[in-house]
Amino acid sequence: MADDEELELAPAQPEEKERDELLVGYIWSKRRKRFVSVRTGKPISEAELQRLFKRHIADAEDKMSAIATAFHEGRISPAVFVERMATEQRRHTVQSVVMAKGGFDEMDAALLIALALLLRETNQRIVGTAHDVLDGKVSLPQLLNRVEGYVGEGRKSFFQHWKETVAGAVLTGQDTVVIARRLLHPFAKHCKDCPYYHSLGWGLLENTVMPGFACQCGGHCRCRIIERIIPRNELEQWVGTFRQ
Amino acid sequence: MANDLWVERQISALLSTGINSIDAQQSVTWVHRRAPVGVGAAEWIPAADDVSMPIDEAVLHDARVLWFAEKPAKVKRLLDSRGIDG
Repeated sequence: MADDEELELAPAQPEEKERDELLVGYIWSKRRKRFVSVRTGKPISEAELQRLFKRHIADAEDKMSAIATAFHEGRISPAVFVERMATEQRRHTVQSVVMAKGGFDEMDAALLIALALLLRETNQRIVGTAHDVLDGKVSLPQLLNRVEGYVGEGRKSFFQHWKETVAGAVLTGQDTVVIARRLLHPFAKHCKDCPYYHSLGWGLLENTVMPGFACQCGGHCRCRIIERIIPRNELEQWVGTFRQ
Repeated sequence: MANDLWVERQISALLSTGINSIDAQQSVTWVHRRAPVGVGAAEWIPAADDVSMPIDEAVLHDARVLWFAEKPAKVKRLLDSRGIDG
């Protein structure tokens, strides 16, 4: 089942191909739960979106790790560390959730309140870490591990809201369901829970446990999720398998 | 003078981590102004409430500006997508 049906928009001309890459505008298909290029009418694939998100998380982790290292080395004060970490955490988490929801226009008041509460909890952990570093309780590797966990909270937020959003995806005129399965990071250490979730194979997205939830890895989880929209009458052929 | 030197060292240290100059200035200025009297900016550790805030239009705008500044050209406008029912 192909889920890359195109909207009827004017196709790009060959001489405009370079401009396509520059400042391309998008629309969010509320039916298909996909970002769609206005110029080409083609949706961004889930694989491309997840590559973008993976890069986004890696950049946040690099930035926050550099700040943490400067603090551990005594080059920045604890207050500058806390303020900078809280700001970067807020930015990358908000951006992550906006990606998952389909753009800034899809953010609602309840979600913003929930985000603020989540970020406050992470800020408490950052403040605690500042105290621990000053008390000599945290080595640099331990500190960077904590930073990875903070960034991981933003990652968890992405998957939480992505699941809620994509579970409602439909294809016009067809009775479909959204299925998903978990992929293990090839080089990461796994807790005992993640391999189990991976072993379940394909299942309904609404029943799939998202990375970082209900697993010992928590914010350090490196698993990812792939999904498909399939006809409902094909569901039995997919559940529990590892079909491509 | 001592305060100016502290501010300058903090900003330089942040710049060395890759933080842009606007953010570096903003962070250090915030700390310098908010540090309680008698504690000192260099020793103060804020509480979570000091650095937590509602996620309002200003926060969303900040996130949007940073996305546009830092992401590749192809996806700069991604999060500004207009939702359509189709």
